[in-house]
Amino acid sequence: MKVDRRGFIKLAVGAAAGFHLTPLPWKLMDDIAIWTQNWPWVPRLPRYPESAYAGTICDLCDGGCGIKVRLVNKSQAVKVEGDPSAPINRGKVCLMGAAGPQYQYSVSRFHGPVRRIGTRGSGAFVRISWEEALKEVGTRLAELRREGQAHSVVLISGRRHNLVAELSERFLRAYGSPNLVKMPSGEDGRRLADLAQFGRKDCTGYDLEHSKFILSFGCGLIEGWGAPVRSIQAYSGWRAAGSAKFVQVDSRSSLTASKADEWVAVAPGTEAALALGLAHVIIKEGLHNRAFIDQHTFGFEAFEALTAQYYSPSKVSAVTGVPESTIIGLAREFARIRPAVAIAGKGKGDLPTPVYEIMAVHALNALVGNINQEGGLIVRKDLPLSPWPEPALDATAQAGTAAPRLDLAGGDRYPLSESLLNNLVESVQQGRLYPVKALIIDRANPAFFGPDPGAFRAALAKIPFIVSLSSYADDTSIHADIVLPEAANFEGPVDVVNPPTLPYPLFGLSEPALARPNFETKPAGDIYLALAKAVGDGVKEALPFKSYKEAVKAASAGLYRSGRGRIAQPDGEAPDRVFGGRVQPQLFGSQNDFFKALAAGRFWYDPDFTFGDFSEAFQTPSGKFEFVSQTLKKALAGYILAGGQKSLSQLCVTRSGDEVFLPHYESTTPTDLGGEYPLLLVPVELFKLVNDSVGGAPYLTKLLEDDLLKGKDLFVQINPRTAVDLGLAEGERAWLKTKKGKLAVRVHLFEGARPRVVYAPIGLGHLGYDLYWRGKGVNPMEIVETTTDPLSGQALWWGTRANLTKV
Amino acid sequence: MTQHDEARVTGHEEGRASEHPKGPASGGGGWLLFFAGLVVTAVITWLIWPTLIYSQKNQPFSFNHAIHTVKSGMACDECHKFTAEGRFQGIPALEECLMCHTWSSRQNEANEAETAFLEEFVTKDDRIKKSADWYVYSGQPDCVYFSHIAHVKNGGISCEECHGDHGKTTGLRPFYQNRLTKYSREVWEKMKMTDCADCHTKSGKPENNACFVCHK
Repeated sequence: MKVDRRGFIKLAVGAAAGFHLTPLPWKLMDDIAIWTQNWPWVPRLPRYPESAYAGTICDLCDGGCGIKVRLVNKSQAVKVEGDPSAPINRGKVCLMGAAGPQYQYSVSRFHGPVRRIGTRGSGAFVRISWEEALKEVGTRLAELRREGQAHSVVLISGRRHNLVAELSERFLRAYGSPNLVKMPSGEDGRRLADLAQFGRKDCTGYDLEHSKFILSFGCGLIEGWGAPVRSIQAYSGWRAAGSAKFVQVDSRSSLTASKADEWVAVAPGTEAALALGLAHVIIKEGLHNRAFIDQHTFGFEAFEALTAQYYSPSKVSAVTGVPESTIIGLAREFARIRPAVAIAGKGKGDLPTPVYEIMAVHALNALVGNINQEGGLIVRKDLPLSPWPEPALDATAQAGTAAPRLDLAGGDRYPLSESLLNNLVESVQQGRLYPVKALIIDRANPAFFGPDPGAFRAALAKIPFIVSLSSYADDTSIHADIVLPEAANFEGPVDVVNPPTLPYPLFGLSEPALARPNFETKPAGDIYLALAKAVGDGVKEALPFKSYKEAVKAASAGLYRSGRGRIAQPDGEAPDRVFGGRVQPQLFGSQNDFFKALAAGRFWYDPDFTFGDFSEAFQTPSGKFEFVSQTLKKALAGYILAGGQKSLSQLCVTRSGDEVFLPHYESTTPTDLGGEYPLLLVPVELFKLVNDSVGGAPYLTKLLEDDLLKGKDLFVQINPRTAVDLGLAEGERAWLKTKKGKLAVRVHLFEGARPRVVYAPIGLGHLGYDLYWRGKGVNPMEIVETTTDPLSGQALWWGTRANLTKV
Repeated sequence: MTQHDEARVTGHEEGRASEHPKGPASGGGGWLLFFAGLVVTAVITWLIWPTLIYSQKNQPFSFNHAIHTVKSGMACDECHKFTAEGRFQGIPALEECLMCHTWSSRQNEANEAETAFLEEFVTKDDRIKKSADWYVYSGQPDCVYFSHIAHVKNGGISCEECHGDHGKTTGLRPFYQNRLTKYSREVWEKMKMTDCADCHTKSGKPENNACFVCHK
């Protein structure tokens, strides 16, 4: 039969109908859908993956936890578990550490060195090679050197507690600049307090595990304080044993306070006054440890007189808001229960704590004589690393390092301070001393965190060349001209030196977990060596290491030569008691055996400690714990002599004489609240919000409750009574206003918030990173006002006059 | 314009209408073509398409399950084992075969299949010289998390219920693989999500059909 055009159409329609009567259309759609998922660029799981654990050290904070990273095919990190053999964390890991793979594969990561092609802050970069990047930075830096401008190069670093910090310091010195400015941290105050009273910076730790009464002045013990996982485990230990009492002094009922046995609510910033009030009662009632005080302290009479005159329970109660009976009861408990320990350092340890406050808390420990006793404050033994040879400074470097520091630290006014970021920003803004020609940023995010991130960002406009070593596109690195990304978590070797608050010396060293870095990154130590090489010119010779690995190995040789300490047993378990008592050192056949053991076990530590041994404890002029610090006296003598009373008032010392060198209370919180600003704004640190350069893990936004972050709104906490006064309801939008500016927030009513105080979490309101964190919430640091810590000059910012008004 | 012209424009002329039948078919011939098309397509899709879309592959060697299970009395899980942690190990590595079949200790020197296996896969000093790339009849997509132990131990389902008489076969059937999706025909046609879900529902466990149970 002849099939004409119409016939053909009928045939076709029949075929189409038949096609639809069969399963084929649906099968084809299904098949094609899967086919598209099999295209070559779609990632596939390995067919028979090989899974293994790689031991390493977590690099996200200074806590130094040993971890085991589960790897698929040696190249993909999928999970983090604690390493049971690690002495600090003993098989446990914190929420950030567990989120390690998220950091490794974060979309904020730089895939290699980049050069900025858009405006600063736009995040528009183009990938360049390491050769090109190092050449450009090296040329620029070498040029500045030749022009005699080496001192105008500033390095802002957030590194502490590792050898890279040491190496970066040497790099800058060899280069010829005095301007190594560390990010502000609670450790600034502690280092000075330790120096003032014990004679050495950063020498105190706590034997938390064996204490029976722990008096914490604002320390976020289960929120990231000290070595976070160790602190949490110490707390768990107290609970398990049921024999320790934990008292938290805090202006609000933080997580730590709500988990404590007792919460003592103080007015923010008045912790030192409370400590001295307790000292007053202890001394008055004769509860202090006379034997210890007579034999091992200096200046007790002056301290006694000070506390007797100015820190009676009634006076302290008026300042702190703590009832007199509580002060007296607390003092008696602290003195009677043995062993008791008083710990200082607010929040996670990033909040600035005044030096006098830490001195006052140290003094409490001295009063009851728990220093170098089990369960008390421990003066840590030294860590016997071999010091690297002093860099041989050429003429340029010598001239450069002799220039005055831009942050005025170590000068006449702040002779003992090491870094004052606030002053650096001011110097750049005001054009003080000399302009900054180049800025290097390493493990720091000052465009987000710090006393004045806005001022910092504005100051960047005056700096012609900015280099960042950040692995992530954080708030600061997006302003960089060149980024030399360091190897991020799991990609690079990690070394740890004496994590904070540990009572024993510890050195951790590990290889990267991944056999090869995922992206074109370099370990930070090698970046500094490469920069030295790129600058050439005498800088290279001053850092005589072929690689960072070699440098670290050289340093660790000292541990072997000391004949002290033990190394963690790989695949074993950390001993039940990690610190204290007589512990035999581990013996090694040779230095090579030692290095092999260290490579396998990753942690060297010296647990041996004879309680009651003070032979190395006090390196003060008097050889004793100094209530009246002669170190401070000597350092400030010139300044006070020159300026007399004016100097004293600049030191914010309201009384005179020896009081400057004694722990005492200086009010740094505004007392003139009212009128336009009736409230006090106190920024708070939370464990699940990160404020340093590592940033937040992408999926940890899921941990933020709806009364902390909802949509893009940050909630601030206020007391329900205050809310009534302000006419604000739960969840209502408000303007958080200070003299510096205003932020749009919502309010959360919380009975644990002190009345008339607004608590704003730090860690949100990012301008950098990625879709997970950028633009969510607001950053209270943008609007805080700062006062200055009298002794150290560090910026204090928990005393901002504020108001919350309806939108 | 003339009337004639108008007609040409509109295509409408009187008296011409009846020459062009209206409607899709002009009677028997049209419907025949329609059904012809329908049948041809049906034949193609039902019969010819499966042979086109599925490629046929043979397994590395035709393993005789019956000799091992029926004759030698081995149970399924003597080779298809669970680890101590409960992970199912699937098709055993050839090293398992060496537990009984080596050059130095053969099960049956007269058996050609055993000889062929040893010649191809085992070195003269009784080590495996190459691995066998088995095609997995029941291989689910990457997005599916299937737990054997949940079904075998917790669900009490025997191997045969899902894998049929595979354990009694004397050779390995060919592996039919969908050319587009690369999935096994047996999974693609008989063990898709709805099939799993139906069985869950029938066994009184509809809660196992929640997304996260299989899609982790």
